[in-house]
Amino acid sequence: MDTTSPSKRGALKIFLGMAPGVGKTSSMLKAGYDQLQKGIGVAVGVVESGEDDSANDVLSALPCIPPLRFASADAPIEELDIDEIVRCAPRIVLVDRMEHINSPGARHGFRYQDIEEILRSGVSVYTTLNVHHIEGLIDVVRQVTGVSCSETVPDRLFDAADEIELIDMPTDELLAKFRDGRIRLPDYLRASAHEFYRKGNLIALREIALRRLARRVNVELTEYMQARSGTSRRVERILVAVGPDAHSEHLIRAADQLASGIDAPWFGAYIQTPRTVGQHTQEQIRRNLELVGELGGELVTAVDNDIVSAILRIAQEKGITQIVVGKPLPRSGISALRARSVAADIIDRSECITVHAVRQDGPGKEIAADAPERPHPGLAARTLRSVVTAVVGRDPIVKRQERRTAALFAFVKDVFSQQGADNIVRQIVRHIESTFQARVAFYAPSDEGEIDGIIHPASTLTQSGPQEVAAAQTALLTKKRSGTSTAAFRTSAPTYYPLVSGSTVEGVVGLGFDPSTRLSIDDEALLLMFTHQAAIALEKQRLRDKAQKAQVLTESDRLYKTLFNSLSHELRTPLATICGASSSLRDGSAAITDQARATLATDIYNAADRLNRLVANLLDMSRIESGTLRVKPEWCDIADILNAISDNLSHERHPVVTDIDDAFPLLKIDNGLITQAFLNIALNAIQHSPDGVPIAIRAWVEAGVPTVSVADNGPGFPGEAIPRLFTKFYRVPGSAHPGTGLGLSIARGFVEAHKGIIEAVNRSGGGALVTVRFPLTPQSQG
Amino acid sequence: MPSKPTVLIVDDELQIRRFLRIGLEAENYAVIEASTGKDGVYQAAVNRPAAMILDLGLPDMDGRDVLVKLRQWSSIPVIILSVRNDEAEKIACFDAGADDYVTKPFAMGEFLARLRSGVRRAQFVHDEPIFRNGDLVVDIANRVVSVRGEPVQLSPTEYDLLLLFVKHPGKVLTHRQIMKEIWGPYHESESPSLRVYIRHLRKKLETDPAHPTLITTEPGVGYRLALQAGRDVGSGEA
Repeated sequence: MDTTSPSKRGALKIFLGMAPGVGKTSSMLKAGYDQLQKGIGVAVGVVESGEDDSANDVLSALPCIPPLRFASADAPIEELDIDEIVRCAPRIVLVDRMEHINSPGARHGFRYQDIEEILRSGVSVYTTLNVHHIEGLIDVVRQVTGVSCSETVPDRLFDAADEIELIDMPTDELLAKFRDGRIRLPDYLRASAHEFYRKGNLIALREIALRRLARRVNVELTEYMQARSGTSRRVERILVAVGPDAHSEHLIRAADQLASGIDAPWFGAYIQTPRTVGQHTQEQIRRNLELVGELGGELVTAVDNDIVSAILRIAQEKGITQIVVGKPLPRSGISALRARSVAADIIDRSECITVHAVRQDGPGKEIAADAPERPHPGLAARTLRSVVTAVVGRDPIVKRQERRTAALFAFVKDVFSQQGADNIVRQIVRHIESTFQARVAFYAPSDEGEIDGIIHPASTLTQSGPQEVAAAQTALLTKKRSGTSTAAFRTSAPTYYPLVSGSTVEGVVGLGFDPSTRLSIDDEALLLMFTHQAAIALEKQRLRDKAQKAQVLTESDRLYKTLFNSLSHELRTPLATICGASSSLRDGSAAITDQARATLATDIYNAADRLNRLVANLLDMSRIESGTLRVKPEWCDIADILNAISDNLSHERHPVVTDIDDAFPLLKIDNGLITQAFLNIALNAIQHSPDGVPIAIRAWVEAGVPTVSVADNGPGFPGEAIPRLFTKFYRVPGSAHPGTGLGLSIARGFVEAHKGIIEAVNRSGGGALVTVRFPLTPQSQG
Repeated sequence: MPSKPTVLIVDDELQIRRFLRIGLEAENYAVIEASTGKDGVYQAAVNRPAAMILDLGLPDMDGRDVLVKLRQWSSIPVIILSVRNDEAEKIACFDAGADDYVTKPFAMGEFLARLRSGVRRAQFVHDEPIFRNGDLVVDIANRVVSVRGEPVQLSPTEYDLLLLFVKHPGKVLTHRQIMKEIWGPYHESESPSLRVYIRHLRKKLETDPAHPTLITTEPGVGYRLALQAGRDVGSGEA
């Protein structure tokens, strides 16, 4: 298999029309031909020869990458030869009818998925589309025109297109063309063409196309404004009650429309009643639940015998302000009463929440059969992040639900209690693996929002060929499942689930099952909740990391002030000594005795020495703070370091005694940094000891760990000071000694840069003890 | 007594030159000064001083380049005097032929001791068959080492290492220089073996191996054989 080049993603241009016959294909061909004339590599991927002669001439003049042919009942069907296109890599490839559904043998289920793969390879695509194929518009188109088509293209593709050219034609001209039989009709229009090509319809479709284009521009504008202001005020929160029926798709879309109109987050609540549902309904539920995630909603599912209570409870948990429910169809008898009561009960009991009752129409008769039934005693369940209450009952369904809720509860608890994205991922993988009996791969999106093929090390499913990466990438981009038993990359073995939180995808998990395993609808719903919660946890962590960066800035601002106050004192004191003493020497009369002169000179020297240490500390601190601290490890004999310190401090009024065990190994450490660390610890000990009292530095191996301690015989640390001793600028309260509170924090910084441990205690016999433990370094000889 | 040894100070800071001059003249040195690198090289060539005190941050060139130029024709002791305090800089200077490195700020007393030691070393005659330093006596011709009159058994590598120090008494030898001399140019510099041999040598030669006075450590840089004052090394005290 060819490796795809890491080149830039191709550009997508859509030639958008209001109806078949406006001339999208010939516009596209002409645009392609114009590019070819400019010397740009253009090739035809799939274009059906059309009704227009001049267009056919252009088509025959363009180079063509022969499509793959798949047998079908009547004529063979042509599909894009993706691999050949990627291999030839023209700059632009022309692809007719973006909405086309691929033949069963093709790589992807839909042509738009082919287009996406081509775009990712770096090849640009020109394609054609009629407005009534845009997924988000199919309801409104059906209401206006009565036409319903199954070939749809997701809105996000439309919104993500780099360029959209609206191909317009006066409606009268289009009608004339239709009457003359010069329009090649797609299959789904053959039967109802005369219904479709009516002036009122065409005007409406034209308007819909224009409005949709306008909305796309508006979305871009809103995103731009939000990005500029850095805020998005979200006060409204919308919940849609999702049922097990086909009408719910309509409700979900309505909720999405409503939410996107006011830029509100929205939730799809599916309440499972403890009834067995048929296979067909299961598929429908699966579709509904997926649709919620696909359109950017958050899925919440719960098991409850009382649908209304469950929905209202979720509404309360999620701070919902508006609920979308299905308006029941007029019906007779007992089922009407039952069905009515869900919507009506919600309206009755929803208090200050606005309830939208959306008319349910269109295809589908299942609603009567699948209308939720109530009540069912003896069942209790709680949703996310609620405590699992004791469940009474011997019902196996109840037990299953109990297990399920417990699994979700454990998942949420573990995932949300973690600090750091890596630990969160570890928990995600662990829980998904054990709950669903699958091997799990985790892909994190790169900064560029792509899957770079690197599997998170916590993954237990580690195969990651081009096919797997492409499938994961598809899940990331489409926010849909991909891989086995999905429409995209059906041939790759694992199934990939995007972790969608709002508008962002926080990662992709791949699940590898035994070939025989297929998730039940229960498991599927549970997994979708897992993935959603996982996404939220990861998003929170990401935002936390971001906030922490901001926090560091605030913190450094505060530190800056402390530093400033502390510094002006610490700098001015020795400077005052130097100025005073040196000016006395300069201006003083001859009456100053030699002994006094010597004292003054000593004072000047000591003050300068203090200043020098302060400057060194500040420089060290800034190295630690700025992250520019580089540990340059080399083999060191600790005796060299400790003896150097002992020598260095010998002029202080304290003997520094070293006691170094012969068995102390050579350490691979940065000599300068560790010397400075121990010098600071020793200086601190000296400062807090009465004159003449020795400081004891001892180095030995304790339980295999190279350990160095510095002990003094001073008053020890005040108990409350111990936890804060190593904090920057911390000074022991009431300390009579000068200092900036930097020395010990620098020591900690340097020790920790070596992955060592530093701690302070009071000695039982009085005095303070600071201990440093080094990590073991492999070495040839001790 | 020969005439006063002359010391050349190459530093662009007038105050530094001034107090160095005061301190050096009080110690009976003659002092000449240069404030640029170029002038420093010129003065060294014309006046043939006994030692050079060299700042690294000179206005016209880096002090290390002055050192490199000087080393093409002169082996006088050079003491680097700089505010730069990182080990990499020190190692680079020692590798370029510096005899000592003192970081500003510094105490005059210690600085003068280092200068004395440098000058004394330069006057030390290298081809003596017997090297004496304090309690240590190395009979180079017969490969016999003794401390306080007691013979000391050294392994061949230990002896080679000691001999290297003996050939450069008082001078800082960087880890790299030592490794190259003893184990060859391709030896892995990461190896801890040098520290191990130094430990062995100290155990055999030092009075108190925990507080070595003979083979001392230049932290992060290397080791030196410290010259013991007042013994029959070089020309003795001025």
